Amino acid sequence: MNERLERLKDRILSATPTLCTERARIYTAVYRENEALPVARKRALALRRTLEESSIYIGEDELIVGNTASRPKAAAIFPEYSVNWLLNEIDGIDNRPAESYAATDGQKAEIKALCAWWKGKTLQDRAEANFSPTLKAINDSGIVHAEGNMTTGDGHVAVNMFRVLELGIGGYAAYVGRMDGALDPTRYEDLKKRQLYLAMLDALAGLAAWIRRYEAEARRQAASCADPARKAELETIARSCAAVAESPPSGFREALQLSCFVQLVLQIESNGHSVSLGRLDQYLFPFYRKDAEAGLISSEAAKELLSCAWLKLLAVKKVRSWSHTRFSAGGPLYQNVTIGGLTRDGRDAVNELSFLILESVGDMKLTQPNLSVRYHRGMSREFLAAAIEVIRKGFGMPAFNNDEIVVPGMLKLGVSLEDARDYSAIGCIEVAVPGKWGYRTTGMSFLNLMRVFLATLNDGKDTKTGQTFHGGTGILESFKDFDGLMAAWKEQLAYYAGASVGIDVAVDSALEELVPDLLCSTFTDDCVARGKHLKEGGAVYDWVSGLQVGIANLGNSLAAIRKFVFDERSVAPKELMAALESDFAGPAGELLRLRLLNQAPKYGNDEDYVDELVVEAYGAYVGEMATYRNTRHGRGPVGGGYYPGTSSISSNVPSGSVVPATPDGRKAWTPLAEGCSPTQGTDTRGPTAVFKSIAKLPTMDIFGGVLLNQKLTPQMLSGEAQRDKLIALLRAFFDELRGWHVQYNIVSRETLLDAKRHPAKHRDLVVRVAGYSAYFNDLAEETQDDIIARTEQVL
Amino acid sequence: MIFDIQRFSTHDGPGIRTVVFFKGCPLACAWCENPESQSPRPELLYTKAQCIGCHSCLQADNGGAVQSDPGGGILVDRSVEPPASLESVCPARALRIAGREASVAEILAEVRKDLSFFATSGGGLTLSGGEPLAQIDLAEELLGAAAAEGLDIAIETCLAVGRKAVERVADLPLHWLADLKHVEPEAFRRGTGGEVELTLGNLRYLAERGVDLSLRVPVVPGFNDDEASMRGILEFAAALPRPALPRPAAAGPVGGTGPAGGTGSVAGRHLDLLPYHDLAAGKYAALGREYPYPLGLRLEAGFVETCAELGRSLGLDISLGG
Repeated sequence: MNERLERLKDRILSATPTLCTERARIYTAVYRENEALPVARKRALALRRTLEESSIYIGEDELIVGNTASRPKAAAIFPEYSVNWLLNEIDGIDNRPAESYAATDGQKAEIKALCAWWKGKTLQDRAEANFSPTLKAINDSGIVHAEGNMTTGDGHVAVNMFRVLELGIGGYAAYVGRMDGALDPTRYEDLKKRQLYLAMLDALAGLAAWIRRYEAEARRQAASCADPARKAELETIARSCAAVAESPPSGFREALQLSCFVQLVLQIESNGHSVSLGRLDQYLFPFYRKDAEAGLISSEAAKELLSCAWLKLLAVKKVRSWSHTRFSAGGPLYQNVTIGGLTRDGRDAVNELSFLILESVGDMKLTQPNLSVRYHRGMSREFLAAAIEVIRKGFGMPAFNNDEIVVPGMLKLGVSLEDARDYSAIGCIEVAVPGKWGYRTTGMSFLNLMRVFLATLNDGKDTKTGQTFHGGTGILESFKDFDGLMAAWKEQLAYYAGASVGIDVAVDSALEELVPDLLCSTFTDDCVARGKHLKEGGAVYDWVSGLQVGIANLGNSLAAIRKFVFDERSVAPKELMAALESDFAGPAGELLRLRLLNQAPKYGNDEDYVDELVVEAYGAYVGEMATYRNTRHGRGPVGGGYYPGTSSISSNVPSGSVVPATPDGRKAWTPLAEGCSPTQGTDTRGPTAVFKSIAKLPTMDIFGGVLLNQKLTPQMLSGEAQRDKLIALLRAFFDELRGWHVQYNIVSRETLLDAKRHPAKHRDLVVRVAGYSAYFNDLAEETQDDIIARTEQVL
Repeated sequence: MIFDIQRFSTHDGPGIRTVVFFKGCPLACAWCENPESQSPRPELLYTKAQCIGCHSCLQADNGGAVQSDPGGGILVDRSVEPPASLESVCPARALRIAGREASVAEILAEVRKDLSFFATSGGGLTLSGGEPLAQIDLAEELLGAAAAEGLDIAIETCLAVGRKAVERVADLPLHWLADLKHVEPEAFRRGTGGEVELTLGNLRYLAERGVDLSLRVPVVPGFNDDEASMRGILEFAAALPRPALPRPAAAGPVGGTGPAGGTGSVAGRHLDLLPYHDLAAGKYAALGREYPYPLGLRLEAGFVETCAELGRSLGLDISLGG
């Protein structure tokens, strides 16, 4: 990291997160002034005016420019999504246990005034109006947690950056204009398309104007700059902006700058997180190669520009409600960059730029971007070793996704072979074909499996709230044998799968009606060709998944009940139920808890007894979800369905905080297991056993991703021979066992404990929370404890 | 009798390995990091800090191995052999039985679970202990069966056994990881209770046969952490006859293209220096034994590195810490 980058990094890390009211002010004004317009046009106008009028800046030392709010680490406000939480929480927003935002009294007053106008008009209001009373009660109960989807929208998307760089903004405007010109004004459908095209043109014009403003700002600063070196840099920035405001880029720097502008503007347009850059090493490489061959850029200069781009991603902040914040600890934006993998024609896609991206991410040690490496069988040892060099730095990146399972899985869904090979990670571990896939490939809705499981033991009664949503399946005592319990589980699970889809449909239709996104739709195939925005079915492919939380707890609970209640009959059903109800109170309760915890097989140790229960119990969900259709089904996209997903991010902590004691020996209100990883501290047979256990799942059908976290201490990676063993471990997991994903925390337990005691000493400490990395200091204490508790695998 | 099967071992031969620990050892090294490996009988490990005083073990069939402790927890009667079932009655994992009979078929079924990882890393099965050659029938059968199904095989041994046992497995394609703790008879006897000539003779025998032989030298305070002892050890190692053929590559497919590790490694005999540590102290307590060294004791800083330098100057391929 050179001095410029150190200064830039330090400035952002030391900046206080703040709120920015400009976007909210402009959006509110445009909506109020244009009530008669269709919503797409209102939104396009609001975006355009925001891009034309909101504050822009070019900071000292910056080489790549762009900002989503008035200053680094300022969070824009998106009142059209939800205001209820804002009105409730704005007064205390600067005083939260984590993710606080400094806000002046004037800002708070302004936000309240703006929100007052939006009350009753937001996405959340519409979604809730769509709920049946039962769905509302299920959503309120916390068994399904879809709050993020209603308060911030879906996100989880990557646009067609290849095409953006090929056509340029002007090229897209011309394309939309041509489509608009071909419409027949006498047809109803064409009238609808017309409104969309006009909106898209407005949005594109806004984007071009925004880029021009950076050009002007760079020229203004250059004119008064006394330092000739900086003056030249500012002039280069101005030229780069001018070059891409309408035309396609010609060189690496312009291409990277335009990619950044698009990445940032998508996060001004909509509030969903996990907006991802896709296969950056693929679409930027032709520009890099051309410049490098012409002697216009060195690898060091390219790395510096990439690093400057990462800092732009780091400066983006998103303010969430407190309850949603707990599900996304550390305030992540999950802006994913994917490198490696296969080319569209099936060759190894790793190129020189893949290495430069990897190295620059490793040098910077930031939480953004979220870097994923697409592994495939033919990946060179050299590239894997370079990836492990970055992993050794201990900030959780890169994560690995596995082409050997994702590509065939996509083919099975009906994705074309070329597109399947062209997938990228979105957000954390979830995947999609960038620029061709609808919103929310995975995420934003959580199903709490353990609440469902406890209801299964209680004739459908939710033990947390006392409500019965689906009764008549029997209590534990009534099951003649284990199969009876499993059958009841499957029935309850099917019921809640349906409920979660019901909530999804209610929210999706509200998203379609109230917050269509114009730029994101323009840049995603085939929205323009079809004249449909993403939520209307504009994408080539469209599958979504929610996330299921508590998979390891589910399997371990089933195994404990099977062993003690049914096989050995050493624990009476009544005894177990009473212990769960009392949270294992008293010495007898604690004794039973320890038996459940220590004497029953645990998932993650390659023991079929329990692993097969995970496969059966969670596998039932896999089959169930395949029967549902999303709101885009039959409206254009290939697919239009659902699949399961396990990238539960940090939701295992808040999800656990609403679950009473469970039969795996877990105390009430403590965290659930995260992702598809084993329960904290119960995988005692080492990483190969964990890999074997997880590989028993029907991974190819869990297309929302199978998340596995492993923690390694730094000394486990000392020496080349040890690192080669890690590569061999990965190859076996991916080639032979067809694992989906793995990511590593390389940090010692002592370091984590010390960081908890002395946060100031570890300002820089980044840990892998789940599908992403966060600064340890940004995490709530309970999440810190959870990370410390995860088993250290000995390598 | 074995006391553990450990998967994903990365310091016990090439690649990723599964290690089978044999119970019982002819030596009794004071610093032994697996004290439960020494006795050939099953033993009870009792971790008092884990005990919740539930007395489940007292109520179960315990063969008299445990009694109530008026001071809290339980007392272990070391003179009584604990029944194998005792481990599973303790809900707190305070009791563990070290030592069980296991058949070759049973062991191989466990070892086969990691075939995928052996394949990509060039790993396989390692016998360790205790002393595997002290149970030569089991060792020979297990190694033979493993080799017959194509598993890579290795053995960690102190070689303090009769030549006959060594001969019985010497023709197998084994990676030998043999201890060389000392070369002075008196010092060896004091530290290990054994006769050094048995070990040294077996080492010479194996070296002459040209087997794949690596040496492992624990560097232990007060035993061999002086220059004279280490010089003797290293010179003995360097003087062992060298096989005509270079020893097989130490790593599998992934290791093939990397630069050669270590210095002066033109096929010098590999010798691993293992610095003393006290991580095993807790196991001594669990066995009701006194840990013979003061906690926190460390080797003099830089000593192992000096030995490594000396070894390299003698033409050995030295690595540190396994």
